[in-house]
Amino acid sequence: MWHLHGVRVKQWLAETRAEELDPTQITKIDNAEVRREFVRKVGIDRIVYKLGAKTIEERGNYQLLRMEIAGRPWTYLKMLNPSIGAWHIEGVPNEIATVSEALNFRNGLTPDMIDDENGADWFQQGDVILKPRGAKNFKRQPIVLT
Amino acid sequence: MKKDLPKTAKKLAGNHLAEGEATGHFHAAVGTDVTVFDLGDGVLVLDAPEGATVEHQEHGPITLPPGLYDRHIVKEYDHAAEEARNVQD
Repeated sequence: MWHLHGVRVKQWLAETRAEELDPTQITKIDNAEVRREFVRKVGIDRIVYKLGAKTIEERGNYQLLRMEIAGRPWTYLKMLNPSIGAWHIEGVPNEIATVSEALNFRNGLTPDMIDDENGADWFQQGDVILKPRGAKNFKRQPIVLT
Repeated sequence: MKKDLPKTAKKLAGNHLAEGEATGHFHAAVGTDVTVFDLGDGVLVLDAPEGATVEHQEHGPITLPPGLYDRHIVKEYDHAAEEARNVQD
């Protein structure tokens, strides 16, 4: 078995030199942790450049990117993992036009559920979200994110 | 069984909220009388009557006040399959 930073990956990803990896292969990797290691090895800037991504919006450590692959638009959110300082890119629907909308999609929030004043606090650790059971409205962002 | 949960809810043996296939890492709830229930179809509920700490090998811990929590997984859109799905790690 082959590993990169403790993540089990295929032999080709572990053994191919970074400069020989085709950045467009990222679109074929389903597992988010493996995708993260691909990004870490190839380099986020090289991937974004090679895929011809255009920045739709940038906010803090988030960038909403749109690129064209196989004649279709593919929209991604580029973000920094705050725990390990590694970059992720994850797909979001093409209708999304802002970083805020992309985060709402990721977090399972629709505009009618968001109430920054009286909504419930919620928590996020990596890809796991914990919301108080029974609550209907939530703050826009987690009160704790690690 | 918690009265707020359906009778079909199953108490899980461990207190893992999610496990990573590629890393073997897991999100685990720790605390007095902490229980994780499986409601089926991937729905998990964390019962933390006295609060809990959620731990993970890579991420910082989270401290939860007492309560019942629905566990969700962050979503992503798979452009190749043209469908939304839970993030897989």
